Amino acid sequence: MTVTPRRTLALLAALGLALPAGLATAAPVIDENLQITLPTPQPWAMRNLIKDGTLIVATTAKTKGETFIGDDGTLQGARIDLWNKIAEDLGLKTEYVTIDWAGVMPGLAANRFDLACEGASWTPERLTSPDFFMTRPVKVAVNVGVVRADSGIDSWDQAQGKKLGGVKGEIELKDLIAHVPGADADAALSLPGVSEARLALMNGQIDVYGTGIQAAKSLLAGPDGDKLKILAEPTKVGVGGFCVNRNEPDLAQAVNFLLAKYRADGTMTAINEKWDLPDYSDLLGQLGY
Amino acid sequence: MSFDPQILAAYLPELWKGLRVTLWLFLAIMGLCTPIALAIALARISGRPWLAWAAATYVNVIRSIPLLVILFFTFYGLPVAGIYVSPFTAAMIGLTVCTSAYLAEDLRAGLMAIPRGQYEAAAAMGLPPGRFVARVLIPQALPVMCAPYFTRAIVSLKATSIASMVAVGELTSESMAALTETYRAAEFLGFAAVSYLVISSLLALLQAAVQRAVRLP
Amino acid sequence: MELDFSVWAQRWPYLLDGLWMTLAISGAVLVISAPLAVVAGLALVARNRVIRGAAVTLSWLVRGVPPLIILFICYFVLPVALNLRLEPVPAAIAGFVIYNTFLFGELVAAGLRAVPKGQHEAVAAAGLPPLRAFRRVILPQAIPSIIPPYVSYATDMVKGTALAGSIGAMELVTRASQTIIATNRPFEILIGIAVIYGLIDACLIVLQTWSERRWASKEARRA
Repeated sequence: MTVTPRRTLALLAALGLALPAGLATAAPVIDENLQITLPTPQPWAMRNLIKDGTLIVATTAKTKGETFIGDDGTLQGARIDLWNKIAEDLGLKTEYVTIDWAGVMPGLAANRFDLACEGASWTPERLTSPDFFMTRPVKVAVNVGVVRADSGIDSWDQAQGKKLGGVKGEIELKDLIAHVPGADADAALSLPGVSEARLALMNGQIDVYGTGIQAAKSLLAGPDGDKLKILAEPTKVGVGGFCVNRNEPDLAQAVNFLLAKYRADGTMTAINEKWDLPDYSDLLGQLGY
Repeated sequence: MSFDPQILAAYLPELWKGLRVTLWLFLAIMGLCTPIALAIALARISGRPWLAWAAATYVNVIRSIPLLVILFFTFYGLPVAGIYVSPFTAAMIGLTVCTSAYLAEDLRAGLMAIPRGQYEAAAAMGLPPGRFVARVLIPQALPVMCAPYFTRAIVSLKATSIASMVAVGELTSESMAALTETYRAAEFLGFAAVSYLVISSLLALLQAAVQRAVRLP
Repeated sequence: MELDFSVWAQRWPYLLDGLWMTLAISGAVLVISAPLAVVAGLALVARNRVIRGAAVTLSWLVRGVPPLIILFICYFVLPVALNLRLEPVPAAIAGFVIYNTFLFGELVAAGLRAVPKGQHEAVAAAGLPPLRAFRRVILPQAIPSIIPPYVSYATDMVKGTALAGSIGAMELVTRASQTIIATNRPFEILIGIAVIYGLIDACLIVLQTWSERRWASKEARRA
């Protein structure tokens, strides 16, 4: 096409007119009222489940609010509701295996469970693990330090040289050690569980307990909780999701699909509110989840 | 299940440290328990009512309480009363109290294999009790006590893993910590199992050698 | 610190279910592994080199590996290796039976070694059938030196069933630790658990004292 001055002028004029007009005509394409539907398989074929028609989930039942044993002796919590909802939408029954932590990952790797972990922190090793798939996040993992209210520790600078502790192997403990300037990893106390860590903190065997915000809040709400406080600045903020059996990419796909759906349609928020867990929608949204 | 030896290499310093702690804890409790348990076993068959009663009470009470509960109170309970002990010391005390009761029963069974007639014969001959124990009783009981002693030693070796409940970074604890961090089970559980098997194999070899040395004619 | 045992008022049904499971697993293991242990004990002192070698090797492996690993093999490895899917409780029983058969088997072997060699030769010379000789002559003499360690290991075993929680069998200790998390009342729950175990073990120890007396009086009558 040969460009003549007249044509150029005409083109510019057209563009000038078209610019506002173009915006106006483009509007229907991104109309907020536009109904978008996600194609959902009905029923959703699950070819690799361990037991046909059943979703086998392993949980330790040791995270208050998420999965725990209630006063009536039943397994309950926000994750239980979420897993039940996932199973229902996939046309499956749930079968819960309550099991000590020692058996969770071996069982997932040995094809005993379809799904496990109520909120495993994302780490590079776990995301690339050959033993399981990590789902998209269900929570923002805020790791904090808990101290005795009368300890005089109010900031991380004041935590220097204090005795650190946490549950052995947990990312929360690692984050605490990494966050306190000059902390010695070998001097930190690795306790076997949450309740032991709480006792060690109360007893003065440790001064700062590195844990998740949810576990920390549960301590403050429990007996003698008024003797503890949470340091304002978190040690680290990450995300946590579920672990899916390595043999079941179709389940991982479906769980990711449904988790996104529940985020969008408010199911996740409603469940978290029911169990008094914080709603992380905005924070997860910032990360694109 | 996949197996990646490289991840073991990355955690080798922690695992090695855990293995050393397990060995020290094991040697400490066996060193403490052997004389204590022998004394308790001898007290039980001594024929002196109050001594036998005291020893039996100790053995039966301790055997009735889970080790975990003993450790829990020595480590988390004592500080409530203002007494602080280090994790290793708490574990050592708890394991020694517990193992000495069990070992005493194992040794007593060996001592009971010696016919009662010998006790009476020794008494009739005017042999001092100390001499009777050292020269007559133990040499005869050794071949019988040998296998239960080493079986108990192997059980105690593995019982040291309960020390992880009071924050002692021993083999099981370090392996489980690495597992929790990496979520890789096969490598770290495999490492712990093989390590225990190697140590207990050394004990089994020692048992075979001792058994040959003390065999009754 | 104030102790508040009201947690038990609310939580006892859940914990009681765990106690039944602890008792069921322990009972099954003790009943099944006792006869197997006699067989293992005989194999460990057998004159046949092949049988003895096989028994000694198995005993070395089974006793040398932590019980947790044996449970994991029964629950996690068998489904893959043999396509045999055991539920948590049968898997736990199978694992503990394997472990205790050899643990108790070593005790039986030690008891048999305590019987003077001459007796074995004597019963053979008297032409007693081997099974009868073993049951009527050798075993009764070995039993007094087997009972105390057997009961010791039995009390240990009952407490060891706590490991079953790691393969999904919700016994007493696993339920207790879940309850501790839910209530933040560790001492109240643990004291209760210690009392329950104390009662179970006291029963076993009474049984030991009774059977020791019984064998002692039998021996006295014989002598």
